[in-house]
Amino acid sequence: MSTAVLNTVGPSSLSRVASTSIFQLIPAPTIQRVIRKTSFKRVLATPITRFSTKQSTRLAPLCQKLITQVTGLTLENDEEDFRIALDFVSRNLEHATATKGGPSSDMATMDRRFHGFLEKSRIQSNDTLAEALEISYRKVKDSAKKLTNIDGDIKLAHLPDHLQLLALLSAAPAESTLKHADAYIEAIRNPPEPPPSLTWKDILAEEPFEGQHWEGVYDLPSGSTVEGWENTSDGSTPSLSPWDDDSDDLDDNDSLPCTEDAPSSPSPVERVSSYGQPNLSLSYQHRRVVEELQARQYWREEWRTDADLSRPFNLGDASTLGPSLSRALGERTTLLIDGPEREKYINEHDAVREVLMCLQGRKNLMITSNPRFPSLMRPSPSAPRLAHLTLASQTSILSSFAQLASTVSHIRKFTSTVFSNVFSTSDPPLSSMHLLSHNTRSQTIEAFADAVDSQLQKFDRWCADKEERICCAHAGLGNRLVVSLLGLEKDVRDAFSVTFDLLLAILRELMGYVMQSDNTSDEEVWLLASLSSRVPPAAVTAHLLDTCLRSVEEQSSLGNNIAAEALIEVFVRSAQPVWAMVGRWVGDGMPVRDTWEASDNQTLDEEFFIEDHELPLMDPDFWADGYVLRTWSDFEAPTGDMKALSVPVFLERIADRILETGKAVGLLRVLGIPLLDGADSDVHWPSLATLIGQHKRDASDPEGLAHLIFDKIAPYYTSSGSQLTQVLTEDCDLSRHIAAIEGLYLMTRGDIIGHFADVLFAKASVLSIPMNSQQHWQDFHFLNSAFRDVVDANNATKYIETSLVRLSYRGSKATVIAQTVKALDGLLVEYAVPFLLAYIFTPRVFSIYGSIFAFLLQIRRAKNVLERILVRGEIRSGRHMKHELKVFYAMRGKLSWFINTLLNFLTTHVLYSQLAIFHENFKRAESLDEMIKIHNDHLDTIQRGCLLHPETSALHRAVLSALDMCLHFSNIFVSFSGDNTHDISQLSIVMKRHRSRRQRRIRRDVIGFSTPEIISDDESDDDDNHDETVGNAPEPSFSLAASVTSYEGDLPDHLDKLSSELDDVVRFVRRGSEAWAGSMSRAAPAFGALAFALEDWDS
Amino acid sequence: MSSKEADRISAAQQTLDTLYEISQLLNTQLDKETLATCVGMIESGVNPEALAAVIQELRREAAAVQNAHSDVR
Repeated sequence: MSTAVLNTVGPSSLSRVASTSIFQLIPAPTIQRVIRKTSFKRVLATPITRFSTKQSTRLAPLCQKLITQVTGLTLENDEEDFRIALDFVSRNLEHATATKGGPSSDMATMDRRFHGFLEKSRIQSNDTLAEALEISYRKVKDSAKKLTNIDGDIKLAHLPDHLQLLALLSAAPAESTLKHADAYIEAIRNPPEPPPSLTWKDILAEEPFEGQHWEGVYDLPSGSTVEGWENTSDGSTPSLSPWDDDSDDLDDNDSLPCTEDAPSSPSPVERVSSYGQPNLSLSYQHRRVVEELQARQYWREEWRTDADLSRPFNLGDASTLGPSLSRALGERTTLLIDGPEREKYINEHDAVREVLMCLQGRKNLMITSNPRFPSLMRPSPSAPRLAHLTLASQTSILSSFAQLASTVSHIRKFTSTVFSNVFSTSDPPLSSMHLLSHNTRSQTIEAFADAVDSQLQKFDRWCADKEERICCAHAGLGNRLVVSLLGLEKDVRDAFSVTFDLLLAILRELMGYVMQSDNTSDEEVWLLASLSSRVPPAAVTAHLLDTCLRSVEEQSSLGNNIAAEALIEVFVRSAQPVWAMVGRWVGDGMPVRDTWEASDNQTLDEEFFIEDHELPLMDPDFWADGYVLRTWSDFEAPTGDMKALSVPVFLERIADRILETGKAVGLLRVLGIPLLDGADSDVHWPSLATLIGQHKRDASDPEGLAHLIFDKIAPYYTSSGSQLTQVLTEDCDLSRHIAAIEGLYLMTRGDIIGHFADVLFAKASVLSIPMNSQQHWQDFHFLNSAFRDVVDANNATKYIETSLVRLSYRGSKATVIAQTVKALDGLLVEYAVPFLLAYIFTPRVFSIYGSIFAFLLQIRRAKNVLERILVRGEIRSGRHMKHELKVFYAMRGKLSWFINTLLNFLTTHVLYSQLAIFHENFKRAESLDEMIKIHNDHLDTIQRGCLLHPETSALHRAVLSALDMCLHFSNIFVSFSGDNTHDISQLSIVMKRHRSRRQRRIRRDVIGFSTPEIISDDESDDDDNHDETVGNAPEPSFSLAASVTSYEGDLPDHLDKLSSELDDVVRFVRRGSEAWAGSMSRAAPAFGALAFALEDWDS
Repeated sequence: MSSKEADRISAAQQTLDTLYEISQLLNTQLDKETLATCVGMIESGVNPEALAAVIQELRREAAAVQNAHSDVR
């Protein structure tokens, strides 16, 4: 009896040994037999009695469940066998349970056992299995650690038992096992992303493991529970085991690599179920998404439009136009046009996107670059077609875009070239062809490129925005859009007008200017950045800015505000470098160099329109020529454009002011005078954009811009100017020096110069006799000491500092003062002015002053000579002389009248009136430059009035010949009457003199020997034919030598001739002055007075 | 359900899941329900060795019955 046999097995043996011993007693066929032989009723009765204990009652349902699950037997389908099996299970298990007080398996044992499994797997080359096992083993230990609740469904203490059960039931790995291990490892390595909504809460909500009752879970019969199972296990095993330590031991001892952490997915069960086989529905979804996306990829070869291309032409359906026409054309084979079947059609909104890409300079389907001229764009020959456009109309529309794209690409290339040049540190090699070439790299071009680039960015942004809106609308977001190529063209035009065409035109024009050629329409404008040119950078800068501004003006006058605004933006940014230079110039003043250390001095930028001539500060020409507005040098200037200024137009009007301001500021800085008083010293030089931004209304047109800039410069100008003027007038004693200079050169202090002249002429007369001469009248020491003596004698030292004056003679010693007044031309008067005043009284100015002085002295000389002739009745008692004396008297009267009229004219109408005007103007001068200008104008007027200007040289020569006539007349008279002159200088300074016939004879001989040959009568006759235009007038023929040698014999004739020549001269001067009186020069009124005075000659 | 309760159940469920994975890797040929039953039994104090023996015996019996049935047919 099997039951008996089973019962005979002692509890002690069961608990001691493995249960295999039990089953060794009951082999399977035996059980089978037992089951078969046992009567139903008996078997049924027996287990009931056996399951009388409490534990049995609790185990019974589990046993029944186990049997069903393992064997498939149920109470319903095979009650007898089921009960036999139940009896068998119950009894064996009950026994084992009842006796379970002995040693249970612990965690350390299980560790070892699993370690064995792992090793075994590895030996069998099932590494994946080993790895999976290791991971899952560690994982179960980890998860078991959470089983702290002693009331839990699974208790930590029972884990070794569970594992032992599995170990006992384990079999050799089958193929499916290995596959499972692979899938498991794979799932760990690539854990599927858990759906975000899936939480433990959801899982538990789906599978409600409520309380300790796993009711309805794992196919437990409805209503059955595992109620009270935790109580059963209470005390059966210690709730605390050396679990943790053991697990650590395992980890420590375990030399196996552990590369992957256990997946922390909240739902391992689900993953296990899903990694086995691919999720077909998911992959189908993915595929569908891919298909959908591909269906939108119109650029793919296999993409086909959804429009039916084979439909015949229908007037009401635009999409039939293109295919129909191309079909019709395709029939004619010579045209080589593919029919609609072979052409690709895309939708217009896609075409618009493509065009937008093209405009942003990207690769696209519709427009490509011309293979021969890569910078030129054209509609791509292989461009997909649009169904509602014919080939020609599509090409035409695309061509206009292509043109825009070419323009933009040109500009893009230019900006990128400039930028790359900026970033490249190496300087481009100098052209060896000519050293005069300049590099066109300039700040302004860079700024221009930057400004253009910002316009391009704006354009790109606009295109991208457009594209985005199309995409959004396509995806059903945002507003509905109507998209078309023509619409895009209009939008571009509305948004940007012809801005880019104009920018390119500006670049082209600049390129032409730099290359100095007119034919640059096809030039590659981006080369501009690295060209070498003969055009100086400042001219390039000015030209660029001018072209920009001109474009702005043109566009705003055309009413094209969009382009005008864009261009003014470009202009303002391009002009910023020059503006900043102006700011530095005006704020800091000119860079002043020390004469001796020229090497490390800062110089002005080559782009700046002010040029540094590198003169030292102490040079009197420094102010006028040290810094000037830059002009083209002679060999640089293009033909027909000589001396073109390199000033940008918007600064042209105030360029002079800027120049003056900078110079004044620099000079003040050199003088150590702070430019601006406290309030203005922190005046910030704003950028041009800021300035224009602040005065938007004023700067809307170039005119306003110029005014704005003028206002900006004004404070610097007035402040520096007034300070400098103050320095000049107060520190440099300007007015005193002017008075002295006028007194000296213009003889406004008549007494001093009058006396000096007397002394001088007396000396000159005396020295005509060489034997008496101790000192020549030209002698340097005589001149200076005489002058000093005169000044001292007249107590005029406070007016004229004699130490500042130096007289010298530079003329030819061969000219004799007794014969010609031209000998006085060589007399040089120098006046030393202080440092700053030297900028006003430059050597040129002094040379003019000197020439005026000499001229006045010459007149005085003639007057002096005439005054010394005393024609008196009692001189010659002889009656025969009376007639001659009358002639002499008349002649002297004529000469005196002319000389006096002339002198009166010069002193009163020219000098006195002009000086009054000058002083009036000079007081109002606000800056050094203004002073210089007023003074120069003044001097110019005087020079013209004194007939010393090159234009009046004919008149001047005529007057000089009249003066020489006086000398000549004097000589004739002396030789006629002996020494019978009256020296007027004797009135002022007593000088001893001797006159005798011998002396007279000697003098005459001297004259005779040195006289040049007689000038022919032909020339004299020409005098009558004097042209009215004074400038062309031939030199009056009179010369002192004309008849000197021959007057001895026929004195009356000679005097007659002298008289007629004087007549000619006077008339000539009168005609000339009349002509000048009608001119526009400032000296015209004075000439009018002269002409009026000379009218009396004939009356 | 309190959160503590939920934790307890989830820990038990997790352990059970992992045990099932191990059982598959060891090729024990236990399905999840059977494993749950076994776990329940062991938790009730059943000796795992005895249980393993019983299961294997039941399997053998079931196989024999299966064979007998096929022989009869």
